[in-house]
Amino acid sequence: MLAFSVAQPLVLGISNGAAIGLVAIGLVLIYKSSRVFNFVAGEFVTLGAFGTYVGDKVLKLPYPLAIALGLLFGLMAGLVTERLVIRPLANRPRVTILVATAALASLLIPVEIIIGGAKFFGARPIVGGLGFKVPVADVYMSWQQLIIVCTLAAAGVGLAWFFGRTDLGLAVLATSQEPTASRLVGIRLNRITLLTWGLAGLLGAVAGVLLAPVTSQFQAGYGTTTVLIAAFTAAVVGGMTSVPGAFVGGLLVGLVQAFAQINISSKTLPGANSVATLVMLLAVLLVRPTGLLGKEA
Amino acid sequence: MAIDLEPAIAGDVFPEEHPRVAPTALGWLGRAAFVVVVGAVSLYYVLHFEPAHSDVLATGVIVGIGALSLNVLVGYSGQISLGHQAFIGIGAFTSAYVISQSHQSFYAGLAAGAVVGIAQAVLLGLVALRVRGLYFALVTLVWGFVGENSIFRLESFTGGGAGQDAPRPGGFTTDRAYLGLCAIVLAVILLIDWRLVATKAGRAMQALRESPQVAANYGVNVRAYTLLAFAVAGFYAGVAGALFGSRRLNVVAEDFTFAQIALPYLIVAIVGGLRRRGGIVVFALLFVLAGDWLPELAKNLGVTYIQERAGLFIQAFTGVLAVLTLIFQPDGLGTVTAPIGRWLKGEPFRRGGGEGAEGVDVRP
Amino acid sequence: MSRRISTLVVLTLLVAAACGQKDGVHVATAGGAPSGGAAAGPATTAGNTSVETVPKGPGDTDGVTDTEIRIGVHAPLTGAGANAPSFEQGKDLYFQSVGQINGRTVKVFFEDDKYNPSSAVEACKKMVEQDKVFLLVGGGGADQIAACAKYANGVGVPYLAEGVGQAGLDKLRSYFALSMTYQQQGVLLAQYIKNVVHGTKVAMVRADTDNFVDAHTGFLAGVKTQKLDLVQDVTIPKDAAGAELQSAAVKLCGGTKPELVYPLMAPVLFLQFAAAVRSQNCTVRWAGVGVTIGLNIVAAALCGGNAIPGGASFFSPFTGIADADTVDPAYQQTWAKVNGGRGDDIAWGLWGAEKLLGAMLQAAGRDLTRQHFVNAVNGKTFSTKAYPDVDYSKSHFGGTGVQVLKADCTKKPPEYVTESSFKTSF
Repeated sequence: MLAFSVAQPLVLGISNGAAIGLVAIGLVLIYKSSRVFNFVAGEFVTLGAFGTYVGDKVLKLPYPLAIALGLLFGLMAGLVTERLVIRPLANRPRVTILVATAALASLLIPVEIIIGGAKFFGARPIVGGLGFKVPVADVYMSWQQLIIVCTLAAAGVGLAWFFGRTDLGLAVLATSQEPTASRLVGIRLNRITLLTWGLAGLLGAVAGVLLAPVTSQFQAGYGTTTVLIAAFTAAVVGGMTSVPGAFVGGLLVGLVQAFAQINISSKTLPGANSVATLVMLLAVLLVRPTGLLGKEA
Repeated sequence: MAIDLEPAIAGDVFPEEHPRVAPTALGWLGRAAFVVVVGAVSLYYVLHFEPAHSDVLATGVIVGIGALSLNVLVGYSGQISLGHQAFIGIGAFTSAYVISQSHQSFYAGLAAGAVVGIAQAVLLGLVALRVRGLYFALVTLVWGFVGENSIFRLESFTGGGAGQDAPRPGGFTTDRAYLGLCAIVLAVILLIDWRLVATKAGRAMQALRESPQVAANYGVNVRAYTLLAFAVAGFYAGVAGALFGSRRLNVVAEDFTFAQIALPYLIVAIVGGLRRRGGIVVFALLFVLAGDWLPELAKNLGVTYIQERAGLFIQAFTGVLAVLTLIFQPDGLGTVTAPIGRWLKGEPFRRGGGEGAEGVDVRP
Repeated sequence: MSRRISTLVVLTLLVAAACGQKDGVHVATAGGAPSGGAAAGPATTAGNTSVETVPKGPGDTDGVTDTEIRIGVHAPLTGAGANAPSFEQGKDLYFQSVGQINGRTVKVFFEDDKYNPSSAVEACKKMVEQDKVFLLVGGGGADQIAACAKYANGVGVPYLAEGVGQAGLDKLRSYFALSMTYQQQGVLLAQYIKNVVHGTKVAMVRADTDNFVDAHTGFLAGVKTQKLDLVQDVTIPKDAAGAELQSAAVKLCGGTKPELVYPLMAPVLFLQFAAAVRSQNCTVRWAGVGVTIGLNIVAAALCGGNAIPGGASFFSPFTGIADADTVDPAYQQTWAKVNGGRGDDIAWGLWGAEKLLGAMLQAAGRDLTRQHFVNAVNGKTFSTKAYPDVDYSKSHFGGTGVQVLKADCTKKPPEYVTESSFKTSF
């Protein structure tokens, strides 16, 4: 039997880390294709949860359709961001583009409140009930948390197949490594970039759809305040250009946050997870700027 | 970390030389009249209407000081901060703590807020010496959340959810008088800002913004000037925080979030026009006044839907405005205020950003 | 050179502007209003006309005319509170039903405090300075009430609200608690747990705020007296979210499992926390104090279509809405007349508070000043039968009893029903 202070963070950390990993993969994909830090990624997550809420509670759609609406929100957000913000700014310094994506988040958060109201939105799990007792650890894991972990694994396998086996995937990889040469061999850069942003929006939305029900409620700006910094840290820990790195980084950040949160009393240090994230980020940037699996700093 | 493919700066590399023409006596008279009219209208606005308008203007002045803090980092030295909720909030809580827990005067609180603001900014500046560009932006983002989630929740420092009382100083307790105090502080900050840019430090920071490597080759002390930029930004932010706290009379963590401080203040600096302190202050005031006018306007038009959500519409609109500014009008509102400023100095009225206008591209 | 000149011009302008305002202040001070001070109400009798230039320390009869008394109510319409529009709908129901008090009608102003203490102060400041209200009433939320009570005392405006914390509020001359404070209720809660629930292993989970420190002290004292066993004592940030709440839930259920948990936090936070606890397959009984947490919209969300495994009961100054008809039939009659249909428990709670206020205004008499009002309430006992009696002879924390509300998930929609009423001990 594992000690409680170890077992519980393990379960919590792995399931949250999986959602963080999904968002981090989206960040890495965008960084590979556009060399941009996408600060609106947190709102892709919110929009996924928000679209599901709108479909479920407002339009009263069947739950699978509501989830599809959530995913559509995220996908559209990714595509529109690329087309309206990223492409016009393509040749500008990268921090300028970063600021533009942050401004976009600043636009989306009030829009969510205007549409949905300044309240907490309910989010219900795909499979309700109590979940199951994790063997050895003596803690409960909800079905929802298990689904998140499985989704990350599926996304990992799917992306590995996409980049390794499909022409389109290879084109995305080629574009990120040699933009000029890729254009010469007939790859349409704009299309590839658009595709990557759509994919990132979709991954963010998946994370939102799955993560919000774990705490049963979320509010406008949810993704930016709860997932964004963890996802960025995960991407940097993983090396910023490596999809498997983001995968591992997500789990690592999730675990570190959960350990800090459960074992450090909020009386001693409130928000221990944020502090742990900062320490982790600084440690990686100062000691090993290439991250665990990255090729560049 | 190498930054590849940095494009050339858009705009005039060799600005056209304009002959200096001294204005006639009538010209000076016109300029004086302009100043008098603007001053009179401002005074009328403050004194004639309800005191609440002074409170709104005070908010605008405080947002202006906060945005000037970002301007020092982003505009002058080519750094960035996405964690200004920590910068401003630490100033506010420190000041409130000194006033209501240590029972010192407001001015001691203001000074303490400024000092602690400088200290936390310099710490971040030390990181900036090692970590650059996008990665540093990320560090500032996380720093902001550490402020929000950790520092502002330390019950012994901030009172937890109850917050910390922040009374105004004697003689400045009314909204009008407090606006006066804020305006005096803004004037001092503008003076400091002007001297900062006009002297050697300003040129050194400009060189840093273009390229730290080249600046180092020309003998600029990269370390010292980077830290100086952070210290000045932290000073402005600490002061802005102290004023913010006492305007609200009570400092609570909920007021210092990424969405309410870090993003809007950055947007005010960008839309106002980086390196355009006049434009930034004017836009900060407009930004806040819009929040006051829009509900009234919507009420008069009978659009209660917008009236109830005015703040949200303005926040969304400024987000749009920021993206549009970055894409189409890289000099921000500075293109409007800069010609007026030049004209007041005795030059002929010419449109355009003038010297130093190179857009709001952030170039770390 | 020209650059310097322009800067000087701008500076002169700004300083001139600042001085102009300072002049305005001098005029105001010369007008006779002392600034600040802890005294309840500056003794000047500046009329309404001079208020424009006297923003601080409003005159002692502000908001009172021959025919009208203006009062201001703040409550959370948005934020982490209960978010119910009936706060505003029911804001002046009681005064509509009684018509006049000492020959004056009562006009009620309302502001949303956003469940944020500094917004609450801004709301109270607006009502005092712009709407020129005579006194202020707080609708719920300990931090907001404490912040406004301190502000109101500073400007000499009477302030009435449910009892919350005591620290920092015990010296305020102009604040009167309309119900028992958390510290007082903590003692009763321990008795309730021991003698009614027959529980022994208890836990307390509270939001991290200075205003709950004495609530904690009070409950701990009660736990000691009743020989209960406090197995967990957890604080969570006021705006905790996501994994943070999960961790707190995990901690609560991790060691020795408590039978009964006393949650003291905003309703929205409590609902999220309760969901997190349930996801740990952790069955606890909730019992606590407070006003907003005992509202039916909270019961509806707490039940969430199922029964609450352990049950939930909370102390409140007012009975369940189902008993409003027997306790005070005028409430539903007035609601039907004004809004049509039947009123909810939020307006019912406000009704009780305003009934108490009405009795106080009655006692203050026709010659109404803030000074008279405070003096008239001090040392007196008021009995309205809607709220438990209040007795201000010993202190301004005059609450003497509570009602116990129990969540009933079988009702559609779920609501709190009265478990026992007007209890002064268990």
